Amino acid sequence: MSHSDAALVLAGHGSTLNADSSAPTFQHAEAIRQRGLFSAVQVCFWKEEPNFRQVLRSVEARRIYVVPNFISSGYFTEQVIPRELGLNGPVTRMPDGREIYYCEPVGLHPSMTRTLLHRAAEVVEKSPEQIEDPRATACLLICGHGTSLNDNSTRIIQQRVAEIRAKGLYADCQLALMEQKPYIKDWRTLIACPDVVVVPYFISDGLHSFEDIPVLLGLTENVREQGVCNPHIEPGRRLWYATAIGTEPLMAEVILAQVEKFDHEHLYTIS
Amino acid sequence: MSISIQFRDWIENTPAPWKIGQVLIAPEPGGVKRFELRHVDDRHAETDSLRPVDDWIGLRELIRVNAAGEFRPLKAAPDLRSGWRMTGLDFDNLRLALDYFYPGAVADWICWRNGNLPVTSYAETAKRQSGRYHIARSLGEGDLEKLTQTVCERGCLKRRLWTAIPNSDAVEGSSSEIPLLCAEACNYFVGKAREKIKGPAVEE
Ligand code: SF4
Repeated sequence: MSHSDAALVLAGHGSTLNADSSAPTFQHAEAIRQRGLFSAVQVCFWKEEPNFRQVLRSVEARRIYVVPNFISSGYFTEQVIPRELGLNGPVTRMPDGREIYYCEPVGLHPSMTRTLLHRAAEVVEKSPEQIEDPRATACLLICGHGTSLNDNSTRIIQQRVAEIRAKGLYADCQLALMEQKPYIKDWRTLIACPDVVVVPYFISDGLHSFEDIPVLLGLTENVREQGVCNPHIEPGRRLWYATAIGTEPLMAEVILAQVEKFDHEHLYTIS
Repeated sequence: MSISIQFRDWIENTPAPWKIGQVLIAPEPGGVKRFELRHVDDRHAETDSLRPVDDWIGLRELIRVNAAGEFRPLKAAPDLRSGWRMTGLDFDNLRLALDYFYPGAVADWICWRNGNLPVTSYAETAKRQSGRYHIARSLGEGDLEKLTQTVCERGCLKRRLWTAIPNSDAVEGSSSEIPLLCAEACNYFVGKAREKIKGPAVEE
């Protein structure tokens, strides 16, 4: 389906404390805008302007795809965004006749698995040391937050881990969490492989990916200021650390894939 | 008529230069429809003395922090840095650039002119809040007034429509200025309301 007469709206969380949180949403919007696939590409945020309430006034297209730039479904994607945008399901017809297509959050799309594998391979490739045979020696460790509250994100990571395992490109693939078992800080006991590649399953860089997770892993450098000196070497171990998956340029493809998925699931049957 | 067309009409029929917040919009010489943006304080600056901002990443970086290096959570805060210029913008990119400086402001203003900008009272905004912001509804009248003084009056260039509705003359300053309008308490304000009631909290 062509989208050249439709608009794309990316809805992110944003922050009142720093620009890290909204940066990937802007980055992917700029990348997609440049490709001229939609008549307009807009961003909107919960904590920043333009906010969810405002954004639809700026969008003129008759058909508007809204893709939440969130890692999983939950409070924001199920309650806040629909409420603030005035949505009543996957397809909402506004009083002025415009149609809003509410897509699933980016982090839910199956192509995230490919994106994680790409990110992991790249962080190793860009470092001075390589892993000769990841199938024999390497574990891909996907990190999440983990809380007792409605934790869809942990389930999503578990699914990604299962898919990566099934592909057999790494000797092992595991999930570790900041605030609940399996704890990131226990990675040395959780993982037997000598090589470990860590990718945080977060939508943006920030406190968690720049500070908390590096500390839990035992990295000593200031990741925010200096980047990561990959690989980090300890007796018998090498560890590569990638920053948040959400900053990966390929995420723009995941956003587009989420739009395609919406078309398949909701629109082909209508038209 | 679409917002872009109405905006273009306004530009074509209003004497230049135009102003929005702290940004000055001027047509570039040569007759082609290209525009230059700079800080209002740099109105008379030599063009060569201004640092060119030539992509969206550069623009995001410009508006991210103030001159003291502090993050600007409110885009309409009166502390936009000066000393830069953006050039060669066609209508579409002009509109896009203005949406980086002042998100949604052009659309809000055009809706206002057309009489269809929905204005929402604080009580309604607060009632809609859920989760950790549910408490925002218990902000008293007096505190609300105080908060608009400290947060809005001191820290934001927008004109509030949700406290007292001014007439349109009061909203439109000079005829070449696009006013920054606030149709509803922003989430930054709601966050401050929560803080006022509960004390400062760490953002999630
Ligand atoms: S509520 Fe409106 S006027 Fe007050 S700070 Fe927010 S945007 Fe500015």
